[in-house]
Amino acid sequence: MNDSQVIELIRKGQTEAYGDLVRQYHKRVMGYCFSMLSNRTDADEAAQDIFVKAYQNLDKFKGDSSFSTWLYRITANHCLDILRKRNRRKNVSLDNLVEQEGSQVQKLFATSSSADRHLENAQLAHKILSTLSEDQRQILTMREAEGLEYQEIAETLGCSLDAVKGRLARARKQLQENLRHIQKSWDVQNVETKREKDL
Amino acid sequence: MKHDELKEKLLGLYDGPVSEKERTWVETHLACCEDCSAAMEEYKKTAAHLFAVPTFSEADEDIFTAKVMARVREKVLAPSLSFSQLAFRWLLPLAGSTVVAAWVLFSVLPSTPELANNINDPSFFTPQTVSINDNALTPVALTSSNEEMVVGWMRQ
Repeated sequence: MNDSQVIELIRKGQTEAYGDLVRQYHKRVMGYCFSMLSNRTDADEAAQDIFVKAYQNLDKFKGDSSFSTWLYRITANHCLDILRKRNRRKNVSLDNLVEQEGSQVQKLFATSSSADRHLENAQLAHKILSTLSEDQRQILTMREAEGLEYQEIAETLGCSLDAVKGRLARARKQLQENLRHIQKSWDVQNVETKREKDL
Repeated sequence: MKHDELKEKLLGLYDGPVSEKERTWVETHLACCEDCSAAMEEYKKTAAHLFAVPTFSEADEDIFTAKVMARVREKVLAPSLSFSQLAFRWLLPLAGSTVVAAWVLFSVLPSTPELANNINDPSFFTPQTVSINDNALTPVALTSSNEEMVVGWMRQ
């Protein structure tokens, strides 16, 4: 049974059929929430809210796009709202990050594969990603964490393919620049510490 | 396309929507340019570290689905519940008080002789100034008989 048929059943009153959709899209929604929020508890809560919100708005789903794109749009907007609220309270600057977490950043990239990443690393990765704007983080998460195609990203964000290309390129460039800045500052700190020890 | 230009657009050209001709060109260039292939590898490694997604077991999925469905069921039942609650808490008492008020206004008041006469007089509804008697606000001194009376009440 495809998504449209399941939605039809739900509209006819078979609420329990919604469980199939939840099960089907759980990994994608949860994965996106985790990449954006970098906290499993927050991601779980956000993902639940997203599915409940999608259920409540199922009448508004006209079928112009696929259900997955529509659900993804709700997911993206919901996570963006949470991030904006968070960032109003706390803003991570690059220099603060270098000062506080310099050595940890080195460790993060020293691990051989993503499977080695522990909770601590996840929090650190979150801090590094927090140095980007919410929009940059959003588009990078869609492409890098979720592996969405450019066309899917364009449909989800409601923009053109060219806009996706441009935004993605800028976000990647910014991320690389931030990492280079962290790396450079950390190298300078290391040299200074070594010099102090030698003296 | 020159090397610098390509390096700038490398990732977009590599994973973005490009023509078959462009893709072949990029792949050929990557195969022979160490600088570009190193930049590409570095970015891929960075992305793998920063955007790693945790794995979810089937049990996680089941628990999650159960939580969502419980909330969905609540939402489905909520509208009928709230309507009945609304009816019992507000609509019935409101209807009852309206009926009582109407009965008092149209049946009881007109049958009261004094009111029935006055109700037709327009001045009956005009507010009248009320003067406060100054003496009413001054405390009353307790006389000996009053004191005895109070003491009697206290004893009782």
